[in-house]
Amino acid sequence: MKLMRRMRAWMSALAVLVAGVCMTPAAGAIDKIHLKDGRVVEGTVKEELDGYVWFVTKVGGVETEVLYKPEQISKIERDAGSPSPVDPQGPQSGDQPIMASDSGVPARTPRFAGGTKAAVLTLGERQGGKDMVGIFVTADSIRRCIPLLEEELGTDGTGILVLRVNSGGGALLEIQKLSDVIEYELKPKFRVVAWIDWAISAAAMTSHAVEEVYFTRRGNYGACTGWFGALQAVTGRDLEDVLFMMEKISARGKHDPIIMRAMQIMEPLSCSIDENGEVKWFKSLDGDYIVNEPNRILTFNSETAAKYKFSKGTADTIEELAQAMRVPEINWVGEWIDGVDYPVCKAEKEMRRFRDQTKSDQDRTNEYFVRYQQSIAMAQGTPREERGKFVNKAREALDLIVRMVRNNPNFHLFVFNMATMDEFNAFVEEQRQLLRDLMK
Amino acid sequence: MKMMRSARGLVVSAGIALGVVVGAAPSASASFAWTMAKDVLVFKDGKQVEGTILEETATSVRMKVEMYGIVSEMSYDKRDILAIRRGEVTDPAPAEPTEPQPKEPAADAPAPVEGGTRVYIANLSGQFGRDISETPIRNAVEDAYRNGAQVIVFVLDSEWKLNPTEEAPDDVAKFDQLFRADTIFPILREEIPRMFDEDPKVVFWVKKAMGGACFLPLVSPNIYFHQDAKMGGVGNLTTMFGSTGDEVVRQKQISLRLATAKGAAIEGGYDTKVIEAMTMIEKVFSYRLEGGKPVIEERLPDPSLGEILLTDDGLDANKDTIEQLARSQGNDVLTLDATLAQKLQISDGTVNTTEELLYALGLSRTGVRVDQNADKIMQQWSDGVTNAERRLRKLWQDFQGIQVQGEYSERTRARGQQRRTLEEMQGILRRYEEALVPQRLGIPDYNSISIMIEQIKLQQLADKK
Repeated sequence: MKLMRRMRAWMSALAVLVAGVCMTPAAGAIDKIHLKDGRVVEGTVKEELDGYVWFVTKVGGVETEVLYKPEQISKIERDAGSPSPVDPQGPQSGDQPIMASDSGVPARTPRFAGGTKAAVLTLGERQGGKDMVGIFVTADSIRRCIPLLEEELGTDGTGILVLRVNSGGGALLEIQKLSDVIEYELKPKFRVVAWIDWAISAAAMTSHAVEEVYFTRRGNYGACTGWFGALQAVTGRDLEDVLFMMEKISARGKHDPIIMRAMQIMEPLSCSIDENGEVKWFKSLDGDYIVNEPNRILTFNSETAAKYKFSKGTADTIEELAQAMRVPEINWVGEWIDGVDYPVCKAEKEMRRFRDQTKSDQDRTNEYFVRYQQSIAMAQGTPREERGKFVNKAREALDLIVRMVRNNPNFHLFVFNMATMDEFNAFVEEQRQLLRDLMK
Repeated sequence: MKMMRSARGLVVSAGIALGVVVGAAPSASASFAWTMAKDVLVFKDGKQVEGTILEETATSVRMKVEMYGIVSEMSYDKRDILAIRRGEVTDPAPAEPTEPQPKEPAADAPAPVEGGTRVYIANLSGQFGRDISETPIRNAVEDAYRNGAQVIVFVLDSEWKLNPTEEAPDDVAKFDQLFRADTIFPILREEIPRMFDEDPKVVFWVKKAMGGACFLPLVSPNIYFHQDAKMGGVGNLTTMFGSTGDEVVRQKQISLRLATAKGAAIEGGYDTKVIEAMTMIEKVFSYRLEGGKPVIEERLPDPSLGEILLTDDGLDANKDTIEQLARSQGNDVLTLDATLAQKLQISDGTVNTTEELLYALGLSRTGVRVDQNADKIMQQWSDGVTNAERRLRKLWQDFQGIQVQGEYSERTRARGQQRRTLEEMQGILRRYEEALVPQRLGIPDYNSISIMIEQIKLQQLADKK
């Protein structure tokens, strides 16, 4: 199986890590990577590690860093004066340590520490229609996973929690709660990184509390305009509240607030990048690069996010992610299961269960209600001595409704339009009393 | 996907109307389809068992079977099995998640071909989202795996029609079919690398890729065009919302869609400006060739650099005329033909026959075709959908004709018949969920049928002898 092959390849790569990395060649050099699929890519080799090559290319004038795996590379042609071609399968020479500072990523984990523990926790599952923030991505469900994460990653801050985001957004009111869980309950215990597959709208706003952001190649992030009804925008005081909330959340993620602003409202955004790689952002078109035109809403893709250093790197697999995070010795916790490209840890298993149950309940909500209401109606229209069977049916349906809300407390709001759980509990108690009365 | 103010939750979501596109989410389309199951295991002792195959490994078959109304899961040792037959409507069911097991060619798979490069060619033709859909493509890929394919070629020839008899012109646009392509992408992006020990080379040969189909090939770095090929039909990104709502929300919707489409192009290694040119009518693009490589600029052409106009702004005098449109010469948005696709390096070459394609791939001498089942797999799916649509209409008609009347036992029998009819409809809807739109068939959807079944149960409970 491919996963096992990948793991073996990765373990082999780890075995030769002592070789270290080759340093970035001089800026302006033109290297060529010949890929096994026949493509030849021109650019600059930025860094190499055990056959993995970070390669900077320009596509349509946009500078992009791409990671190529050893098995993708046929050969590397280097600029004149550079060392001879490298065998991508073999260990590299050189003894320099990995430089953590050049891209602003955290320092490399010490070698021979038994491997840094890391776990993937998914927020949303677009393909299954299980991605709405507030319903499938909730603060409560993440909070429930924390004890499991502590068990698997420890709590000393060395464990890496990868939040894999795949959501098209959802309810505004959940964003602050999600941000608070990330800031106050996850970050103190784990190195939290966001791995962006599809973070649109509320999903991007949730991820914005995280400093360390990686993209999949197809990933995108943005389009955060609040709306309701027939494409009507949130305006006035409501809008100001959201803009301010996101300024504070931007600070948590150490992102310039005008980036998120350009994702929320139609404001221009540009930037300049100095010789040290520092990015300066402008809420105008004054920067060297136009990131968002004045009458548009910003959504980053993997190329633009990398070019403007919003993301720390691009990775499609956990192997590439580990490389991008500069964590060569990594211990992904969890079990490999069929159809999933990363080990499923206990917390992730719980998160999947939560989403599956929520989806099932969401699909069957009307069925639960019809069963309940019609059972009550039939009980009411039936002589006392024959009501039992209908009351029992109603009780079963009510239990399903209670279980549904217990699994996902946000249903009290989104299904019942009740502001608090207390309100919902009072409703349930009323219904139970009604059922008891029917049997009197 | 979106919630209203009434739910006390303002929305910041994609709000993509999947219903507008063809079908719904593809999840679990087969795993609950036991009511329609037609898989048959033929044992060496002559016994036959019918059901739905849930999982098949090199050594065993796990099957959901129904005996006397009781549904159970059974495992059978392949050593006892003489043959596995799959019914006409029944395609191999995807396995439920289980512990990972090394994939090995199934017992009934043909032996790998010795020597040469094994090439699997799958024809993706018909209606995008219906005939060209994730289940048959996944089945074809699994068949390619079983046959040890090293190169998988998808021949993309999607239907582009205004109605059953009339071809649609280039300027018809269906950008939002992107979200239908989005359910197929994971097969190309994730499932193929996951399934194969050594990644096969995935090639798209485009004959017609209009609407959502145009996004499919982009995730592959290997695209060839037929000389008559067209790729486009997505030029309504910035006009599709008309004047509905507020501009800022329309821009949000445009932004997230554009980014999603660009994500596919980035995966294939293509310039994302091509996506903008194909989708945004107001954008102006030109291109020039530098050392044989295309450079696309967002501006009118600079004659001093030998630039050529790709798309204009479509305004006033620049608006495509009916003469231009009739001749497929419009340039308000980009529709790729074979020549332009090759110049822009979207296409690796123009080939008109399979032989030419194999030659272009360097396989004319060494390529060995291993796709004997490919057309059958695709056809079975299309036939299955057609049969499913016909059957669903018939069942709904039957249901409406069932009269609950007479004696208690007759009423009970009639309700039982109603339930069985509805449950059969649910089985079909589950199985072909990705390709069926119940509303278009004039039938209730899955969840509505669940409610109807619930009501029938209650009516039966309330009935008296």
